Amino acid sequence: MINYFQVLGIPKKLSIDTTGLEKIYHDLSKKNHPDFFLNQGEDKYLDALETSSQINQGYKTLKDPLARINYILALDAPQLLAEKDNSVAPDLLMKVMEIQETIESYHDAEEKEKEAIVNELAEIKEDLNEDVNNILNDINEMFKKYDEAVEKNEDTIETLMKMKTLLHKRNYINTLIHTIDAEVFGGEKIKH
Amino acid sequence: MLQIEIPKELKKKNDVIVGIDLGTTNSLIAYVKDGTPKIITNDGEDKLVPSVIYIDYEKNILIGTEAKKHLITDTDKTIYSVKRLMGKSYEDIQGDSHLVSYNISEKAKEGLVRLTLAEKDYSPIELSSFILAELKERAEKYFGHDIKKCVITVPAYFNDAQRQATKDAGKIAGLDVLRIINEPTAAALAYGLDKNVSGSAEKIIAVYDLGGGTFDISILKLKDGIFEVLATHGDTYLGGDDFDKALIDYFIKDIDLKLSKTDLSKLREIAEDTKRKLTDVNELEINAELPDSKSKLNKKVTLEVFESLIKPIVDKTEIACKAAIKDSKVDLKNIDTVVMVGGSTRVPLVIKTVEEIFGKQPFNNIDPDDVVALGAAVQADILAGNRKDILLLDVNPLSLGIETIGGVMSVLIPRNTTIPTQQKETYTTFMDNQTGVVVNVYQGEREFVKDNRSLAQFILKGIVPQPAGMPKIEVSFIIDTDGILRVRAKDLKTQKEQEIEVKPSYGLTDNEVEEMIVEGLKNARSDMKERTFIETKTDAERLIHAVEKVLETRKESITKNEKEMIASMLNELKAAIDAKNTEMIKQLQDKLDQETTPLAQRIMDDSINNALKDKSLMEL
Repeated sequence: MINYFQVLGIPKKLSIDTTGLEKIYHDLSKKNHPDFFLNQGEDKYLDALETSSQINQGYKTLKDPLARINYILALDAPQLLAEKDNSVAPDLLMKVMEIQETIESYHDAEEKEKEAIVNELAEIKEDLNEDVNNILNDINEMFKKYDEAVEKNEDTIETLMKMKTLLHKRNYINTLIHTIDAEVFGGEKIKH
Repeated sequence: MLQIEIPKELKKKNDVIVGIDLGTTNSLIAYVKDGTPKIITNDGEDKLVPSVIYIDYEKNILIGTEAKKHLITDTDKTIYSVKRLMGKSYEDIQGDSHLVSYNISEKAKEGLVRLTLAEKDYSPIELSSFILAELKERAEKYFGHDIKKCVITVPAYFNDAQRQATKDAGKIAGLDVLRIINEPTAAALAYGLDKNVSGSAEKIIAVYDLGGGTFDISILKLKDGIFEVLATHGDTYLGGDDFDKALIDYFIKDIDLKLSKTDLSKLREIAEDTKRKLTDVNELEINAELPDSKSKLNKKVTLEVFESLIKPIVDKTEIACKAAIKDSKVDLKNIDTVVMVGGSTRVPLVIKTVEEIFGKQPFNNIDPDDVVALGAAVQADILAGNRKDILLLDVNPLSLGIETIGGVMSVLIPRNTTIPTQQKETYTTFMDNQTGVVVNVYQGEREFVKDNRSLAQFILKGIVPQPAGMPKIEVSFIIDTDGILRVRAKDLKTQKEQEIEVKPSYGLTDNEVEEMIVEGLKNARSDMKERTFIETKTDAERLIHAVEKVLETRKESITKNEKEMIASMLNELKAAIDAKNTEMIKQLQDKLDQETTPLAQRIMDDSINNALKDKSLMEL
């Protein structure tokens, strides 16, 4: 696998200053973009095409925190990514059932009863959004832990595992939010 | 013996690279002079070359304004808006009511669509190459030397086949197409320079580009001299032509007669004219007679009616804008500038709609007809190595994928990915001793490949016979800076390049392009012959006119013999012009010139004597 940290010439860390990263991306692009190699023969041009592709993909992957986590997981612990863990935390499972029931009752309800149910779902959605925020905070903590561990040359696997669980939970809640939006608030149906 | 060779690239360094806007309705060519992009005009006159082609039975080709004159009278020999058909198959355009006045060939029902002009079939690629050749010639006349290298613009939403078709058209026209760039991105380049958006201040701009046949919306971030496209969306079948079509439908609502192609061409002209005039006035009285059916068209069109006709079309652009904004992940309120490009953005309803979508007044400081060509010239300047401070980073407009089990599209490169980009996939065999693997590549956003556009079939060939599942062949799918797919394959065991055969679904094979280049050169020759004749004829006619004038005004200086001799030579010359005999015209012209020189000398002397006669010595 291509090491995007090396491609962009930055230390392997989960916390990244994205403004600084953008500057690096721009400078590297100005040095390596194929447009500047048109007059230098086919070989150099194709090399630039390859280098520039890696720079573009590296920037895209590392600028986005979530893509960054997945990339580090793939880099450090591919065995973790391979494990398909679709289990849902018990507390979440309760919530899912509750939401499904509420959505069903919304569809079956008389027009005048609908407003109350919509309000209820709006509240649930707010709770879910708060959950997502909490998870993101937890993930941020994991970022620091991971970076410290890397610096001290300590094992990172436990942090990565926790991070993966958090990510999974976050994705699950996001899907729930989208479902509520699609069923009740006229949002776009998400593609699987 | 030691030989010192100057590297090719050094010798070529000072070559002019031109920027070309190959438009649906009009085309332009531009270059950068002392850091500023400029449109190359025809002797300082017309900037626009109408994208109209006329070909007669003698295969004489006229392009632009000259061809446009034949649009109504010679519908079987002229074609407009050929860009709409780039990369399209016969199948694609069935039931397309826009194309009623096109002469679609019924002979070529498989593969790319072909058009019949004067009973001969041409592909849209060839026809586009004629327009490009005309632009090339315009530039060559301007510079006084050969022009080979160019940048050509395409709609951002053009797919692989349409981009490749444009590149092939360039090749056939004798051009080396260094780069295909997206029209809205080109416009952003032109604006970025104009407004001196440089330094590290960040700016988000939206480019709304509504041309004759296509619509694009691009959201860009400008920072550190980098023009980074964040997202693009569009419709390659939406433009000013659709406004004309809506007006035509409105005009003929009450006409029962079957209309001929000539009538439809006339209606198109009236519709275009009406559309233009309604940018200045609020209502228009139309009184016209259709040439064939003799139907009278007496109608009043108010701006309100026109806007109600085109509203559904303009509304489509709003959907695309919203999709682009969403994909760009930029908040609407953070868009600093909205720029309008393309002739159709002169329509008041379009301006109003853009204002509503973005909540701010759009810019159109640079002529919307010129801006794309100007931007293409800037990109050409970058490629020439004259500018290292600016760079375009564009995206692919459509997702690229391969077919997996159940006909599902498996996306390899999602849309709006910065290009160049690449993705690697490893393939193996399913049967023992299998020596070939077929990979079908598609473009589009739908879940099943059957709903997306087939791009090409790649056949991995010459795999060493082995048990099933043993070979490991890595295929790299690269989208290059032109937004065109390149595929390379490598045998992972031997690390050797694997042979691939490419079968484009809606394009020309390399052989077909080669054939057309040869064909194009032949055409160019017959073209050249026609051109020399026209030039010689013009010269000769000028001479005839001048001599006749002298015969008339200088009767007293010419003897009867001289007069008879000259008259007979003039008649011979006129006959040679009628016979289109270029050689004969030249000979007779020389002869006439020689024979009249002493006469001209005498006339000159006479006039001087006359002039001097009344003057005193003092005045001299």
